[in-house]
Amino acid sequence: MADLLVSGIIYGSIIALGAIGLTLIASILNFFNFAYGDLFSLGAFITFLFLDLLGDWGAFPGLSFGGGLVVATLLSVLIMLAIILLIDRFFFKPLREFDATPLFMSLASLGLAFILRAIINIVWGPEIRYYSTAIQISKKLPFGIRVKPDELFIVICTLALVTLVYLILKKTRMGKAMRAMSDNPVLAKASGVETVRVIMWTWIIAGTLITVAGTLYGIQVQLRPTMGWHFLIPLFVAVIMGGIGSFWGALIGGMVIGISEEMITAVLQNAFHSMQIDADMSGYKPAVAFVLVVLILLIKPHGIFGKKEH
Amino acid sequence: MISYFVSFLIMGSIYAMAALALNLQWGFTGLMNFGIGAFYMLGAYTSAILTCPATTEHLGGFGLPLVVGFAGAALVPGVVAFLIGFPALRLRGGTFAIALLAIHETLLLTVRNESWLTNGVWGIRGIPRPFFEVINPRHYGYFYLIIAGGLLILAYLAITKSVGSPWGRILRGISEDEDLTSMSGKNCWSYKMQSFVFGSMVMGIAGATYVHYTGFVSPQVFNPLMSTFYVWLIVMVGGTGNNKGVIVGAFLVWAIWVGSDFLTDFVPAAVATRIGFIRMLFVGIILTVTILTRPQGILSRKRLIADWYR
Amino acid sequence: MSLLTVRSITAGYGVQDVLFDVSIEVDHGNVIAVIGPNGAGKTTLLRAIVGIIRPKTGYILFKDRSLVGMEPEHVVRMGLGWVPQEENIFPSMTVAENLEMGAYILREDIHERLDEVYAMFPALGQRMRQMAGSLSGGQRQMLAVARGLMPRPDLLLLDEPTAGLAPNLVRMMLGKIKEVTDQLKRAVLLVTQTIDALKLCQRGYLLSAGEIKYTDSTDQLLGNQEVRHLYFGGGATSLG
Repeated sequence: MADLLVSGIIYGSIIALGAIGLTLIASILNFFNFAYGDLFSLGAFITFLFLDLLGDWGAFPGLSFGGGLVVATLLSVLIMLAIILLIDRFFFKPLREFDATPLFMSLASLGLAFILRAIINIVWGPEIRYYSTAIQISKKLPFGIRVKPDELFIVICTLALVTLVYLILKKTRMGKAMRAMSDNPVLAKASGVETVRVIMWTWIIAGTLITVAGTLYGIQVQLRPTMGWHFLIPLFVAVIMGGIGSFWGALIGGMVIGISEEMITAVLQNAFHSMQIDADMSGYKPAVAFVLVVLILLIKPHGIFGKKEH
Repeated sequence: MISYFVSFLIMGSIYAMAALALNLQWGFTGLMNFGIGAFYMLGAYTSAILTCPATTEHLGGFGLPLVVGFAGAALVPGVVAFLIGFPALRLRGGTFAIALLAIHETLLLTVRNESWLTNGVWGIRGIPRPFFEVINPRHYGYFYLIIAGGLLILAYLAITKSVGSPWGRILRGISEDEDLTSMSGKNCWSYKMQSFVFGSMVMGIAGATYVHYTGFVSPQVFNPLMSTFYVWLIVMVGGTGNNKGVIVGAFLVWAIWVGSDFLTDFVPAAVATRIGFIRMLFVGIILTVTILTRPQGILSRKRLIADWYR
Repeated sequence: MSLLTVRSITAGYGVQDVLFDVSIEVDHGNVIAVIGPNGAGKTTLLRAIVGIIRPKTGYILFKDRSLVGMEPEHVVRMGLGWVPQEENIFPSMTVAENLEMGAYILREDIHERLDEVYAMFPALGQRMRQMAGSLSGGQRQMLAVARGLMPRPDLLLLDEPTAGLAPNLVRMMLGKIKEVTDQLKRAVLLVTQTIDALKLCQRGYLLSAGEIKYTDSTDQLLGNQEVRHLYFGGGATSLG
């Protein structure tokens, strides 16, 4: 059980990273971005591309990867930000300019999602890729918890990024402008907040988070072109559960989804097993997120930390 | 060549039916159904299971008449839509779309995992085709075109008649301004439910029409690209809220899709394996260009919804 | 030359016009009222001035520059502040952060101004770290006005700052507005339905069904039996 909790926390921290970016986009740009999952895949694959180009840099002691992956991730973030800002300029900005409704923007982002996925498939093919094939040895911690060094790295990296984003939102002038825009867009504009710059910084923060999240997921599991599409539902569930626009909501929502997806199916599996019922529950992990979102929406339609109707 | 054209018309009719149903839900009621594939799939599997001869591979072997199969293909998606509608129709706009997407993924998982019911990823073979034994196989396409075309005409008449009635005017009121409509004393939830269930039944019938034509069904058919995204593309191209436009859009988009198959002959062999994704890219670009240049649809000259409202 | 000149504007939402051929003027340091019944278009007039909606005809000049077509984020930089009647705070930000957002266009240190605002509204000073969304109605309204004052605009548009407040708070709020206009010599365009608020102003416009029906000095308006009867309930001090 402790192992499942650990893997739930790792999975949850990757979801949380993505969900924080997604919740910022949903509240500041005022639409649900269905292309966000495929941006997650694209980020992971562009990191893979650079890792390949950089060659073997050796590995950090105990970890499955080395400085090469760190540099590849940084380069990947830069490329991804360029791509995302171009997409905004030539795709979302024209839509904003003719006052497209939030639903129309969401639909447009679904089209973009398919384009991105097609490109990933065309460039990299449907094969499964790995950043590293090195075998990781688990470290034993107290209370019978076993954890791999890579997994510790993922959690630490998430914590560092989440703290950084929190400080940006809480302390900087642009961060406050973003929160104001998410809270009350009309008043924010009438207070002098520059919409164009806020939107740009929202994409920059969200784009960085999603690229790192995709890469971390690649370290933990493997790379498939469809990984982001399957990630999209847990991401949305975390955003909705936490309340649209809520930083803490996205963080906690992501953790809750991650842990419950890992644990609930296993608990059910054990229950069926003890009842001598032959059922394979592992295929139903994504259904857990769905059931959770329905429950949350029935009990608290605006999410746990929610503040406004969307 | 003629038979190729007949099969083109049959598939076009099937997609046109699904697109008309989506037009009812989205174009006239404003329900952003991102789970069309789920209802299409339910109709397909229900009819297949009800009408198949005895088998050990999956549930079924009922060998019931095709009429019963089609009735089931309308009933089961209708009932499922009704049950889903209870929680989901409380959600507005984007959250509804996310819930439906999650439902689609969950149902797809069920179909893949529960082999006793659906024979899992291997799919169901030997689905009876109406009067296949008594008609010359060379002319069978013409016969089936009459069935598919007839069902399309029925669906068109039923949906056009209902959206032109006072009932349809209330639906349009809901899609324009739900709060205003509910203030005028209308129970919006109930109207949305009726539209959602009605549309889902038509989608189910489209699914049944498909399986009795191909004689085979497997989960691969219902990937989000071909079952959900594709139907959205048709409605966007045909013009939201324009039933005739949607029918023309269905044949046009299907022609583009079929036509893009010829691309296979002109690309290097190495790329040919990825041709599906090139087509996906192609379709994605059509959608985004449509959205950016003719947001009311290529085939519509005017904003129909706005005209109704004035 | 007037500070603000609104000339013959027609404006509304979509196909629905709300204002018809409306003209008003505000001079430097003046306090001008816009009175009128609910739905007369008072709020729409302010929204058109700050650039949230775009007038279809007519023009708006502020410091001799046209505001038509200018985004709100640029309008505020010209020295024109706006305090809407509703949704006039950032609920999930603290009181202090709300005031900082009020001074967003300023690049200088704002500590002194914050201290002044806290001195003027001690209730806000005591709650500077509290979420604005958790304030009471009266405190919210104070915060909204204080936020509008932060950049010290040359002209402040106040949309019914006393609406929904208890009588003692109405008096307090009006006292604060008077303090500001007297001390800082800023112009104010005050939308109100309160006779006490009208008394703060030099002049008033009566807006009804989207048109300016009268404009006159406050004394004349107060003396006008029809106006008193129609819009202030026949001499009652407040309808607010």
